[in-house]
Amino acid sequence: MEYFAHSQKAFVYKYVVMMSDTDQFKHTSFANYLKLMFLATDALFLPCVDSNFLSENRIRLVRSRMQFKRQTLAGDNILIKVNSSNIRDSQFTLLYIFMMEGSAELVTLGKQIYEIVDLKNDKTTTVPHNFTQLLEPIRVEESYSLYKY
Amino acid sequence: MTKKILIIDDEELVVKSVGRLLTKEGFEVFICRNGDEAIEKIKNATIDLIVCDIRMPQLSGIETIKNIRKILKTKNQKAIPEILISGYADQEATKQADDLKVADYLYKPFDLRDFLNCIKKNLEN
Repeated sequence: MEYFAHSQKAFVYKYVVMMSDTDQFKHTSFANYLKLMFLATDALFLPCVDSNFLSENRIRLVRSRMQFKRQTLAGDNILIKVNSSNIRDSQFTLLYIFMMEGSAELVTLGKQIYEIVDLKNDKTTTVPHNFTQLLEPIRVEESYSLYKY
Repeated sequence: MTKKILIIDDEELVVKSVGRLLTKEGFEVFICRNGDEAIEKIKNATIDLIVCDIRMPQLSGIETIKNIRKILKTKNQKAIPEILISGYADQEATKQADDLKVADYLYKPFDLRDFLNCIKKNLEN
């Protein structure tokens, strides 16, 4: 049987919540999800960011927001689905969906806007080709997204 | 005649997003937050298409669809196309959906344009 439409492509980062992520009541919530957003971003850009790149550039976070939906507990498996949108010459957006692996319950939604900065003059520079190569396959049009970030 | 679509999902954001889209497109939308609500709705209303989440508290989407089919059969009503949606691509759920022979199966998140095309295609069929 052939289904008409499947999910949009996404970069998926899997994370198991650890005790060190939790508060005294064994919950993980907002601040730790923010940390996980950066972990997923780091994992996404791992193939592009080497010592050469880092000696000349940095990735600047321009804007960040998150919509907290629910707490998680140590041992919970979280899937972080990352999509890109609005890829421009010097800027791009990453959209994050955190969900429980087993139940698919929504944990949190995130959005971050990034730009690449040239360390020589501290000015925004063109997003390198290897970044756009990573971002294009997971690109979505935010206005047609199921979730509003 | 305005087509009537029943959305069964416990996730507030999905219901809002999909409901708004379908209403804007001229469909009449009914929303149920769980399987039991949906079964009650089917008993009292004529629906042209069902969109149902697989993973819900209490009755799962699969069980809900099975129960709805039973009700339609006892009412001698024709089958309604069903679109299952799921947030997690789990093989067991996919197999169950396949066994049920639902009209379509989408993974969340999906592009709303794809979703709308899917709705229109199944209403035409």
